[in-house]
Amino acid sequence: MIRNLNKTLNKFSLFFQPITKKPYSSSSKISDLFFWRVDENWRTYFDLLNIVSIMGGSSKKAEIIFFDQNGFLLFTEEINLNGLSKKTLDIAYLLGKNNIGSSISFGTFAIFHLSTPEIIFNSNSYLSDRGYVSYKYRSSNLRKYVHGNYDAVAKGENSLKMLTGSSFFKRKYNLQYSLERNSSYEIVLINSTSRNQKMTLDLSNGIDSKPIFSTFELPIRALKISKLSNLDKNSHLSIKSNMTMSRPIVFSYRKNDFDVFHG
Amino acid sequence: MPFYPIIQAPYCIGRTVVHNFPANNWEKFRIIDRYVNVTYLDKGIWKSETIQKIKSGQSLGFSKNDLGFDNSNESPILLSLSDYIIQNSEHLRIPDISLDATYYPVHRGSIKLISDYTSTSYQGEIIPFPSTGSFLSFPSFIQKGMGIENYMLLLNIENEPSKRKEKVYFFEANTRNLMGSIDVFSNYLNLIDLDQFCFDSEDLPIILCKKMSFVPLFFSTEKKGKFMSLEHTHPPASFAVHGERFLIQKYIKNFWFEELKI
Repeated sequence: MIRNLNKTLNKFSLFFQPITKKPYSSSSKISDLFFWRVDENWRTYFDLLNIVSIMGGSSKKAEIIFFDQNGFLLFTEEINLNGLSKKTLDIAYLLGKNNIGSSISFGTFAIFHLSTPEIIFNSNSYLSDRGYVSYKYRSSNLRKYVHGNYDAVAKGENSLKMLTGSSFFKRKYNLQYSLERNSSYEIVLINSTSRNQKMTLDLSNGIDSKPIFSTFELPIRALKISKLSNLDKNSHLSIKSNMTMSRPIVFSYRKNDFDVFHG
Repeated sequence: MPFYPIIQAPYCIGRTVVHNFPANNWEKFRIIDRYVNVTYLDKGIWKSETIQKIKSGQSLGFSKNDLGFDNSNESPILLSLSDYIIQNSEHLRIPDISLDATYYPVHRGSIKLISDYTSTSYQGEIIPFPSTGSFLSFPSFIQKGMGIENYMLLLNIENEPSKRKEKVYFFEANTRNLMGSIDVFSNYLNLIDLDQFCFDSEDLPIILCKKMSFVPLFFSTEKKGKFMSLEHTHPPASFAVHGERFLIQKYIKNFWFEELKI
Protein backbone atom coordinates (compact mmCIF):
# COMPACT_ATOMS: atom_id res chain seq x y z
CA MET A 1 0.00 0.00 0.00
CA ILE A 2 2.84 2.38 0.92
CA ARG A 3 4.49 1.48 -2.39
CA ASN A 4 1.29 2.33 -4.29
CA LEU A 5 0.90 5.61 -2.39
CA ASN A 6 4.45 6.48 -3.29
CA LYS A 7 3.82 5.74 -6.97
CA THR A 8 0.70 7.95 -6.85
CA LEU A 9 2.67 10.81 -5.31
CA ASN A 10 5.35 10.45 -7.98
CA LYS A 11 2.70 10.57 -10.74
CA PHE A 12 1.17 13.68 -9.11
CA SER A 13 4.60 15.30 -8.94
CA LEU A 14 5.39 14.39 -12.56
CA PHE A 15 2.06 15.79 -13.77
CA PHE A 16 2.73 19.24 -12.34
CA GLN A 17 6.51 19.17 -12.72
CA PRO A 18 7.14 16.97 -15.74
CA ILE A 19 10.59 15.79 -16.76
CA THR A 20 9.75 17.00 -20.30
CA LYS A 21 7.12 19.67 -21.00
CA LYS A 22 4.96 19.65 -24.12
CA PRO A 23 5.77 22.01 -27.03
CA TYR A 24 3.35 24.81 -28.00
CA SER A 25 2.25 23.24 -31.26
CA SER A 26 1.58 19.70 -32.49
CA SER A 27 3.84 20.34 -35.48
CA SER A 28 6.82 21.31 -33.31
CA LYS A 29 10.03 19.31 -33.66
CA ILE A 30 12.21 18.44 -30.70
CA SER A 31 15.93 18.02 -30.21
CA ASP A 32 18.42 17.46 -27.46
CA LEU A 33 20.90 20.28 -26.86
CA PHE A 34 24.03 18.42 -27.87
CA PHE A 35 27.37 19.46 -26.43
CA TRP A 36 30.11 20.38 -28.91
CA ARG A 37 33.76 21.15 -28.28
CA VAL A 38 36.33 22.12 -30.88
CA ASP A 39 39.91 23.22 -30.22
CA GLU A 40 43.47 21.98 -30.74
CA ASN A 41 42.65 18.79 -28.78
CA TRP A 42 39.03 18.16 -29.62
CA ARG A 43 36.80 17.50 -32.61
CA THR A 44 33.06 16.83 -32.41
CA TYR A 45 30.85 14.94 -34.88
CA PHE A 46 27.14 14.18 -35.13
CA ASP A 47 25.63 11.20 -36.92
CA LEU A 48 22.62 12.76 -38.62
CA LEU A 49 20.04 10.09 -39.43
CA ASN A 50 16.98 10.62 -41.58
CA ILE A 51 14.59 9.66 -38.78
CA VAL A 52 11.56 10.87 -40.75
CA SER A 53 12.30 8.33 -43.49
CA ILE A 54 13.11 5.66 -40.90
CA MET A 55 9.53 6.21 -39.70
CA GLY A 56 8.12 5.70 -43.19
CA GLY A 57 7.88 9.39 -44.11
CA SER A 58 9.87 11.46 -46.54
CA SER A 59 12.41 14.15 -45.73
CA LYS A 60 15.23 15.80 -47.64
CA LYS A 61 16.49 18.36 -45.16
CA ALA A 62 17.20 18.97 -41.51
CA GLU A 63 18.20 22.12 -39.72
CA ILE A 64 21.05 22.53 -37.28
CA ILE A 65 21.11 25.47 -34.85
CA PHE A 66 24.29 26.35 -32.98
CA PHE A 67 24.53 28.15 -29.65
CA ASP A 68 27.57 29.36 -27.75
CA GLN A 69 28.36 28.37 -24.18
CA ASN A 70 26.13 31.18 -22.87
CA GLY A 71 23.15 29.97 -24.85
CA PHE A 72 23.25 32.71 -27.50
CA LEU A 73 22.40 31.80 -31.07
CA LEU A 74 25.44 31.53 -33.35
CA PHE A 75 23.94 30.43 -36.67
CA THR A 76 21.47 28.14 -38.37
CA GLU A 77 22.18 25.92 -41.34
CA GLU A 78 20.11 23.57 -43.46
CA ILE A 79 21.61 20.16 -44.12
CA ASN A 80 20.65 18.10 -47.16
CA LEU A 81 19.91 14.47 -46.38
CA ASN A 82 20.87 11.67 -48.70
CA GLY A 83 18.03 9.17 -48.56
CA LEU A 84 18.53 6.88 -45.60
CA SER A 85 22.32 7.19 -45.53
CA LYS A 86 23.75 8.66 -42.40
CA LYS A 87 25.46 12.01 -42.66
CA THR A 88 28.46 12.51 -40.40
CA LEU A 89 28.53 16.21 -39.53
CA ASP A 90 31.98 17.57 -38.72
CA ILE A 91 31.14 20.36 -36.28
CA ALA A 92 34.54 22.08 -36.77
CA TYR A 93 33.83 22.30 -40.50
CA LEU A 94 30.37 23.81 -39.93
CA LEU A 95 31.74 26.36 -37.45
CA GLY A 96 34.54 27.37 -39.83
CA LYS A 97 32.15 27.66 -42.76
CA ASN A 98 30.04 30.07 -40.71
CA ASN A 99 33.04 32.17 -39.60
CA ILE A 100 32.97 31.11 -35.96
CA GLY A 101 36.53 31.66 -34.79
CA SER A 102 38.59 29.79 -32.25
CA SER A 103 37.55 32.20 -29.46
CA ILE A 104 34.41 30.07 -29.12
CA SER A 105 35.51 26.53 -28.40
CA PHE A 106 32.40 24.91 -26.99
CA GLY A 107 28.64 25.25 -26.96
CA THR A 108 25.54 23.32 -27.93
CA PHE A 109 23.59 22.54 -31.07
CA ALA A 110 20.11 21.26 -31.84
CA ILE A 111 18.88 19.23 -34.83
CA PHE A 112 15.37 19.75 -36.17
CA HIS A 113 13.90 17.63 -38.94
CA LEU A 114 11.81 19.68 -41.35
CA SER A 115 8.86 17.34 -41.78
CA THR A 116 6.84 15.11 -39.50
CA PRO A 117 5.79 11.55 -40.28
CA GLU A 118 2.06 10.77 -40.16
CA ILE A 119 2.48 8.26 -37.37
CA ILE A 120 3.73 11.03 -35.07
CA PHE A 121 0.54 13.09 -35.55
CA ASN A 122 -1.64 10.00 -35.27
CA SER A 123 -0.06 9.08 -31.94
CA ASN A 124 -0.31 12.58 -30.38
CA SER A 125 3.43 12.54 -30.19
CA TYR A 126 6.36 14.75 -31.25
CA LEU A 127 9.37 13.93 -33.38
CA SER A 128 12.59 14.08 -31.37
CA ASP A 129 16.25 13.75 -32.29
CA ARG A 130 18.33 12.42 -29.40
CA GLY A 131 20.96 11.01 -31.68
CA TYR A 132 24.59 10.22 -31.42
CA VAL A 133 27.43 12.68 -30.86
CA SER A 134 31.03 11.56 -31.02
CA TYR A 135 34.26 13.16 -29.86
CA LYS A 136 37.82 12.73 -31.08
CA TYR A 137 40.69 13.61 -28.75
CA ARG A 138 44.30 14.42 -29.66
CA SER A 139 46.00 11.82 -31.87
CA SER A 140 43.43 9.04 -31.69
CA ASN A 141 41.48 8.28 -34.86
CA LEU A 142 38.68 6.67 -32.86
CA ARG A 143 35.57 8.67 -32.12
CA LYS A 144 33.90 8.08 -28.74
CA TYR A 145 30.12 8.06 -28.87
CA VAL A 146 27.47 9.28 -26.47
CA HIS A 147 23.74 9.40 -27.16
CA GLY A 148 21.47 12.35 -26.56
CA ASN A 149 19.44 12.03 -23.41
CA TYR A 150 17.12 15.02 -23.17
CA ASP A 151 14.15 16.18 -25.17
CA ALA A 152 15.56 19.61 -24.48
CA VAL A 153 14.19 22.12 -26.95
CA ALA A 154 11.22 22.39 -29.33
CA LYS A 155 11.06 24.44 -32.49
CA GLY A 156 7.68 25.71 -33.62
CA GLU A 157 6.94 28.02 -36.55
CA ASN A 158 9.07 30.90 -35.31
CA SER A 159 10.14 30.16 -31.80
CA LEU A 160 12.12 27.85 -29.56
CA LYS A 161 10.75 26.47 -26.32
CA MET A 162 12.90 24.89 -23.64
CA LEU A 163 11.26 21.67 -22.52
CA THR A 164 13.03 20.37 -19.42
CA GLY A 165 10.81 20.86 -16.40
CA SER A 166 11.57 23.03 -13.38
CA SER A 167 10.60 21.87 -9.93
CA PHE A 168 9.02 23.98 -7.17
CA PHE A 169 11.66 22.69 -4.77
CA LYS A 170 15.34 21.92 -5.17
CA ARG A 171 16.02 18.40 -6.42
CA LYS A 172 19.13 16.33 -6.20
CA TYR A 173 20.44 14.20 -9.03
CA ASN A 174 22.95 11.68 -7.74
CA LEU A 175 25.35 10.48 -10.43
CA GLN A 176 25.30 6.69 -10.07
CA TYR A 177 28.97 6.38 -10.82
CA SER A 178 32.04 6.07 -8.65
CA LEU A 179 34.52 8.79 -9.56
CA GLU A 180 37.91 7.15 -9.11
CA ARG A 181 40.87 8.27 -7.04
CA ASN A 182 43.75 9.76 -9.07
CA SER A 183 41.46 10.26 -12.07
CA SER A 184 40.24 13.49 -13.63
CA TYR A 185 36.79 14.32 -14.92
CA GLU A 186 34.82 17.03 -16.62
CA ILE A 187 31.16 17.37 -15.71
CA VAL A 188 29.11 19.09 -18.42
CA LEU A 189 25.77 20.56 -17.38
CA ILE A 190 23.37 22.24 -19.80
CA ASN A 191 20.37 24.26 -18.68
CA SER A 192 17.52 23.10 -20.90
CA THR A 193 14.80 24.67 -18.74
CA SER A 194 13.07 27.98 -19.46
CA ARG A 195 14.58 29.79 -16.49
CA ASN A 196 18.02 30.44 -15.03
CA GLN A 197 19.19 27.69 -12.71
CA LYS A 198 21.33 27.91 -9.60
CA MET A 199 23.26 24.66 -9.52
CA THR A 200 25.29 23.15 -6.71
CA LEU A 201 27.75 20.34 -7.28
CA ASP A 202 28.50 18.31 -4.18
CA LEU A 203 31.44 15.93 -4.25
CA SER A 204 31.57 13.44 -1.41
CA ASN A 205 32.26 9.85 -0.50
CA GLY A 206 28.71 9.37 0.84
CA ILE A 207 25.39 10.82 -0.27
CA ASP A 208 24.81 12.71 2.98
CA SER A 209 28.20 14.33 3.37
CA LYS A 210 28.42 18.12 3.48
CA PRO A 211 31.31 19.56 1.46
CA ILE A 212 30.15 21.69 -1.43
CA PHE A 213 32.26 21.61 -4.51
CA SER A 214 30.80 24.61 -6.29
CA THR A 215 27.70 26.67 -6.85
CA PHE A 216 27.02 28.59 -10.02
CA GLU A 217 24.23 30.24 -11.97
CA LEU A 218 23.42 28.75 -15.37
CA PRO A 219 21.38 30.97 -17.73
CA ILE A 220 18.83 29.47 -20.12
CA ARG A 221 20.52 27.22 -22.74
CA ALA A 222 23.95 27.91 -21.21
CA LEU A 223 26.41 25.21 -20.24
CA LYS A 224 29.20 24.82 -17.76
CA ILE A 225 32.15 22.44 -17.72
CA SER A 226 33.28 21.70 -14.16
CA LYS A 227 36.73 20.16 -13.87
CA LEU A 228 37.55 17.62 -11.18
CA SER A 229 41.29 17.00 -11.27
CA ASN A 230 43.24 14.16 -9.66
CA LEU A 231 40.68 13.20 -7.02
CA ASP A 232 42.34 12.19 -3.77
CA LYS A 233 39.73 9.51 -3.01
CA ASN A 234 36.89 7.64 -4.70
CA SER A 235 33.92 10.00 -4.68
CA HIS A 236 30.29 10.45 -5.62
CA LEU A 237 28.79 13.52 -7.24
CA SER A 238 25.35 14.99 -6.71
CA ILE A 239 23.85 17.97 -8.48
CA LYS A 240 21.25 20.14 -6.80
CA SER A 241 19.04 22.49 -8.80
CA ASN A 242 15.41 23.15 -9.70
CA MET A 243 15.77 21.09 -12.88
CA THR A 244 13.50 18.07 -12.61
CA MET A 245 16.43 15.98 -13.74
CA SER A 246 19.93 17.44 -14.09
CA ARG A 247 21.79 14.61 -15.80
CA PRO A 248 25.30 15.59 -16.80
CA ILE A 249 27.57 14.43 -19.58
CA VAL A 250 30.77 13.08 -18.04
CA PHE A 251 34.23 13.05 -19.63
CA SER A 252 36.71 10.90 -17.75
CA TYR A 253 40.44 10.87 -18.43
CA ARG A 254 42.80 7.94 -18.10
CA LYS A 255 46.43 8.15 -19.28
CA ASN A 256 46.27 9.48 -22.86
CA ASP A 257 42.68 8.50 -23.44
CA PHE A 258 39.22 9.64 -22.40
CA ASP A 259 35.75 8.21 -22.05
CA VAL A 260 32.41 9.97 -22.36
CA PHE A 261 29.01 8.91 -21.09
CA HIS A 262 25.69 10.25 -19.92
CA GLY A 263 25.30 10.35 -16.17
CA MET B 1 13.94 -5.89 -11.17
CA PRO B 2 17.02 -4.36 -12.81
CA PHE B 3 20.09 -6.53 -13.30
CA TYR B 4 23.57 -5.22 -14.01
CA PRO B 5 25.45 -7.45 -16.46
CA ILE B 6 29.17 -8.03 -16.50
CA ILE B 7 30.05 -7.89 -20.18
CA GLN B 8 33.18 -8.72 -22.12
CA ALA B 9 34.70 -7.79 -25.48
CA PRO B 10 37.95 -8.36 -27.38
CA TYR B 11 41.11 -7.06 -25.65
CA CYS B 12 39.16 -6.25 -22.46
CA ILE B 13 37.72 -7.56 -19.28
CA GLY B 14 34.32 -6.48 -18.01
CA ARG B 15 33.78 -4.86 -14.65
CA THR B 16 30.41 -3.71 -13.40
CA VAL B 17 29.93 -1.31 -10.50
CA VAL B 18 26.68 -1.34 -8.52
CA HIS B 19 25.59 1.58 -6.37
CA ASN B 20 23.61 1.53 -3.14
CA PHE B 21 22.23 5.02 -3.38
CA PRO B 22 19.36 6.46 -5.41
CA ALA B 23 19.63 8.52 -8.59
CA ASN B 24 17.47 11.24 -7.07
CA ASN B 25 16.16 12.46 -3.74
CA TRP B 26 12.47 12.72 -4.59
CA GLU B 27 11.48 9.14 -5.24
CA LYS B 28 11.34 6.66 -2.40
CA PHE B 29 14.56 4.77 -1.77
CA ARG B 30 15.34 3.53 1.72
CA ILE B 31 18.84 4.50 2.85
CA ILE B 32 19.94 1.13 4.23
CA ASP B 33 22.73 -1.39 3.85
CA ARG B 34 21.89 -3.95 1.17
CA TYR B 35 23.30 -7.06 -0.49
CA VAL B 36 24.94 -7.60 -3.86
CA ASN B 37 23.82 -10.80 -5.57
CA VAL B 38 24.97 -12.69 -8.61
CA THR B 39 22.57 -14.56 -10.91
CA TYR B 40 23.84 -16.95 -13.58
CA LEU B 41 22.86 -20.00 -15.63
CA ASP B 42 24.15 -23.41 -14.62
CA LYS B 43 23.04 -26.57 -16.45
CA GLY B 44 19.80 -24.97 -17.62
CA ILE B 45 18.81 -23.51 -14.24
CA TRP B 46 19.00 -19.92 -12.98
CA LYS B 47 21.07 -19.75 -9.80
CA SER B 48 21.34 -16.76 -7.46
CA GLU B 49 23.33 -16.06 -4.35
CA THR B 50 24.41 -13.12 -2.25
CA ILE B 51 28.08 -12.33 -2.64
CA GLN B 52 28.66 -9.30 -0.43
CA LYS B 53 27.04 -6.73 1.80
CA ILE B 54 27.03 -3.19 0.39
CA LYS B 55 26.81 -0.26 2.76
CA SER B 56 24.41 2.60 2.24
CA GLY B 57 26.03 5.13 -0.11
CA GLN B 58 28.64 2.63 -1.27
CA SER B 59 29.66 1.51 -4.79
CA LEU B 60 31.20 -1.91 -5.40
CA GLY B 61 32.69 -3.29 -8.62
CA PHE B 62 33.09 -6.89 -9.75
CA SER B 63 34.66 -8.71 -12.68
CA LYS B 64 33.96 -12.32 -13.68
CA ASN B 65 37.22 -13.40 -12.08
CA ASP B 66 36.31 -11.69 -8.79
CA LEU B 67 33.26 -13.95 -8.67
CA GLY B 68 35.10 -17.15 -9.52
CA PHE B 69 33.91 -17.44 -13.13
CA ASP B 70 36.55 -18.02 -15.75
CA ASN B 71 36.35 -16.23 -19.09
CA SER B 72 35.28 -19.38 -20.94
CA ASN B 73 32.06 -19.57 -18.91
CA GLU B 74 29.27 -18.72 -21.36
CA SER B 75 26.59 -17.90 -18.81
CA PRO B 76 25.45 -14.31 -18.51
CA ILE B 77 26.69 -12.94 -15.19
CA LEU B 78 24.13 -10.58 -13.67
CA LEU B 79 24.54 -8.49 -10.54
CA SER B 80 21.61 -7.17 -8.54
CA LEU B 81 20.85 -5.45 -5.24
CA SER B 82 18.41 -6.67 -2.60
CA ASP B 83 17.32 -5.83 0.93
CA TYR B 84 17.77 -9.48 1.95
CA ILE B 85 20.32 -12.29 1.70
CA ILE B 86 19.84 -14.87 -1.05
CA GLN B 87 21.29 -18.27 -0.22
CA ASN B 88 22.15 -20.44 -3.22
CA SER B 89 18.67 -20.44 -4.71
CA GLU B 90 17.74 -22.29 -7.92
CA HIS B 91 14.95 -21.23 -10.28
CA LEU B 92 13.17 -22.29 -13.45
CA ARG B 93 12.40 -18.61 -14.10
CA ILE B 94 14.84 -15.81 -13.44
CA PRO B 95 14.31 -14.73 -9.82
CA ASP B 96 12.38 -11.54 -9.15
CA ILE B 97 14.87 -9.78 -6.90
CA SER B 98 12.87 -6.79 -5.79
CA LEU B 99 14.38 -3.40 -5.09
CA ASP B 100 12.46 -0.18 -4.42
CA ALA B 101 14.53 1.70 -6.95
CA THR B 102 14.01 4.99 -8.75
CA TYR B 103 12.19 5.23 -12.10
CA TYR B 104 13.46 8.70 -13.15
CA PRO B 105 15.91 7.42 -14.16
CA VAL B 106 15.90 3.69 -13.56
CA HIS B 107 18.47 2.68 -10.95
CA ARG B 108 21.62 2.00 -12.96
CA GLY B 109 25.02 0.43 -12.69
CA SER B 110 28.28 1.41 -14.38
CA ILE B 111 29.04 -1.22 -17.00
CA LYS B 112 32.68 -1.04 -17.97
CA LEU B 113 35.19 -2.60 -20.31
CA ILE B 114 38.81 -2.31 -19.22
CA SER B 115 41.88 -2.98 -21.39
CA ASP B 116 45.56 -2.77 -20.48
CA TYR B 117 45.52 0.85 -21.63
CA THR B 118 42.13 2.43 -21.01
CA SER B 119 38.49 1.85 -20.15
CA THR B 120 35.06 2.68 -21.52
CA SER B 121 31.63 2.43 -19.95
CA TYR B 122 27.96 3.16 -20.12
CA GLN B 123 25.35 3.64 -17.41
CA GLY B 124 22.78 0.88 -17.74
CA GLU B 125 20.77 -2.05 -16.56
CA ILE B 126 18.84 -4.92 -18.09
CA ILE B 127 15.34 -6.09 -17.31
CA PRO B 128 14.53 -9.58 -18.65
CA PHE B 129 12.77 -9.54 -22.03
CA PRO B 130 9.64 -11.49 -22.89
CA SER B 131 10.44 -14.44 -25.14
CA THR B 132 7.93 -13.01 -27.65
CA GLY B 133 10.00 -9.84 -28.15
CA SER B 134 11.62 -8.59 -31.34
CA PHE B 135 14.50 -6.27 -32.17
CA LEU B 136 15.15 -3.39 -34.57
CA SER B 137 18.13 -1.05 -34.42
CA PHE B 138 19.66 1.65 -36.65
CA PRO B 139 23.22 1.95 -35.37
CA SER B 140 25.51 4.52 -36.91
CA PHE B 141 28.59 3.63 -34.90
CA ILE B 142 30.69 1.70 -37.40
CA GLN B 143 34.01 3.51 -37.79
CA LYS B 144 36.58 3.15 -40.53
CA GLY B 145 40.33 3.64 -40.30
CA MET B 146 43.64 1.89 -39.90
CA GLY B 147 43.59 -0.41 -36.88
CA ILE B 148 39.92 0.21 -36.02
CA GLU B 149 37.68 -2.78 -35.28
CA ASN B 150 33.90 -2.68 -34.72
CA TYR B 151 31.84 -5.17 -32.75
CA MET B 152 28.27 -5.50 -31.61
CA LEU B 153 27.39 -7.10 -28.29
CA LEU B 154 23.80 -8.32 -28.31
CA LEU B 155 22.73 -9.14 -24.78
CA ASN B 156 19.56 -11.12 -24.28
CA ILE B 157 18.13 -12.17 -20.91
CA GLU B 158 14.78 -13.95 -20.67
CA ASN B 159 12.85 -15.40 -17.77
CA GLU B 160 13.10 -19.00 -18.96
CA PRO B 161 16.63 -20.42 -18.63
CA SER B 162 16.66 -21.97 -22.10
CA LYS B 163 19.14 -21.22 -24.88
CA ARG B 164 17.00 -20.49 -27.96
CA LYS B 165 18.64 -19.90 -31.33
CA GLU B 166 17.40 -17.15 -33.68
CA LYS B 167 18.73 -15.26 -36.65
CA VAL B 168 19.72 -11.59 -36.74
CA TYR B 169 19.75 -9.87 -40.15
CA PHE B 170 21.93 -6.98 -41.30
CA PHE B 171 20.62 -4.70 -44.06
CA GLU B 172 21.84 -1.47 -45.62
CA ALA B 173 19.01 1.05 -45.26
CA ASN B 174 19.24 2.91 -48.59
CA THR B 175 19.46 -0.08 -50.92
CA ARG B 176 17.69 -2.57 -48.61
CA ASN B 177 20.55 -4.95 -49.48
CA LEU B 178 20.94 -7.89 -47.14
CA MET B 179 24.57 -7.68 -45.99
CA GLY B 180 24.48 -10.85 -43.90
CA SER B 181 22.82 -12.79 -41.14
CA ILE B 182 24.07 -14.52 -38.05
CA ASP B 183 22.81 -16.98 -35.45
CA VAL B 184 22.28 -15.60 -31.96
CA PHE B 185 21.20 -17.16 -28.66
CA SER B 186 18.96 -16.22 -25.79
CA ASN B 187 20.38 -15.72 -22.30
CA TYR B 188 23.71 -14.95 -23.86
CA LEU B 189 26.05 -12.09 -24.70
CA ASN B 190 26.37 -12.53 -28.49
CA LEU B 191 29.60 -11.02 -29.84
CA ILE B 192 29.39 -10.07 -33.54
CA ASP B 193 32.22 -8.74 -35.70
CA LEU B 194 30.55 -5.90 -37.64
CA ASP B 195 33.43 -5.44 -40.07
CA GLN B 196 32.57 -8.74 -41.78
CA PHE B 197 29.47 -7.09 -43.33
CA CYS B 198 31.49 -4.47 -45.24
CA PHE B 199 29.25 -1.47 -44.58
CA ASP B 200 30.57 1.81 -46.06
CA SER B 201 31.26 4.69 -43.70
CA GLU B 202 28.03 6.55 -44.55
CA ASP B 203 25.82 3.45 -44.73
CA LEU B 204 23.08 3.15 -42.15
CA PRO B 205 22.79 -0.47 -41.04
CA ILE B 206 19.40 -1.88 -40.10
CA ILE B 207 19.76 -4.77 -37.70
CA LEU B 208 16.71 -6.82 -36.86
CA CYS B 209 15.44 -10.02 -35.33
CA LYS B 210 11.78 -10.97 -35.35
CA LYS B 211 11.82 -13.35 -32.42
CA MET B 212 14.25 -12.08 -29.82
CA SER B 213 14.98 -8.79 -28.02
CA PHE B 214 18.36 -7.46 -27.03
CA VAL B 215 20.24 -4.63 -25.40
CA PRO B 216 22.44 -3.65 -28.37
CA LEU B 217 25.92 -2.47 -27.41
CA PHE B 218 28.45 -1.23 -29.93
CA PHE B 219 32.13 -1.51 -29.17
CA SER B 220 34.87 0.00 -31.33
CA THR B 221 38.57 -0.16 -30.64
CA GLU B 222 41.70 1.24 -32.24
CA LYS B 223 45.06 -0.54 -31.88
CA LYS B 224 43.65 -3.55 -30.04
CA GLY B 225 42.37 -1.91 -26.87
CA LYS B 226 44.53 1.22 -26.82
CA PHE B 227 41.48 3.37 -27.53
CA MET B 228 37.89 2.18 -27.06
CA SER B 229 34.31 3.39 -27.47
CA LEU B 230 31.14 1.78 -26.08
CA GLU B 231 27.58 2.97 -26.63
CA HIS B 232 24.12 1.53 -27.10
CA THR B 233 21.30 2.45 -29.44
CA HIS B 234 17.90 3.44 -28.15
CA PRO B 235 14.79 1.50 -29.20
CA PRO B 236 12.80 3.08 -32.06
CA ALA B 237 10.33 4.63 -29.57
CA SER B 238 13.07 7.13 -28.73
CA PHE B 239 12.37 8.98 -32.01
CA ALA B 240 9.23 10.29 -30.34
CA VAL B 241 8.32 11.95 -27.08
CA HIS B 242 4.90 12.13 -25.38
CA GLY B 243 1.81 10.43 -26.78
CA GLU B 244 1.63 6.77 -27.65
CA ARG B 245 5.32 6.11 -28.16
CA PHE B 246 5.03 2.36 -28.07
CA LEU B 247 2.42 2.41 -30.86
CA ILE B 248 5.06 4.28 -32.84
CA GLN B 249 7.65 1.65 -32.01
CA LYS B 250 5.27 -1.09 -33.15
CA TYR B 251 4.57 0.84 -36.35
CA ILE B 252 8.28 1.28 -37.15
CA LYS B 253 9.00 -2.39 -36.50
CA ASN B 254 6.08 -3.53 -38.66
CA PHE B 255 7.09 -1.10 -41.40
CA TRP B 256 10.64 -2.43 -41.60
CA PHE B 257 9.78 -6.09 -41.09
CA GLU B 258 7.40 -5.79 -44.08
CA GLU B 259 9.74 -3.62 -46.13
CA LEU B 260 12.61 -6.07 -45.72
CA LYS B 261 10.37 -9.11 -46.04
CA ILE B 262 11.70 -10.83 -42.94
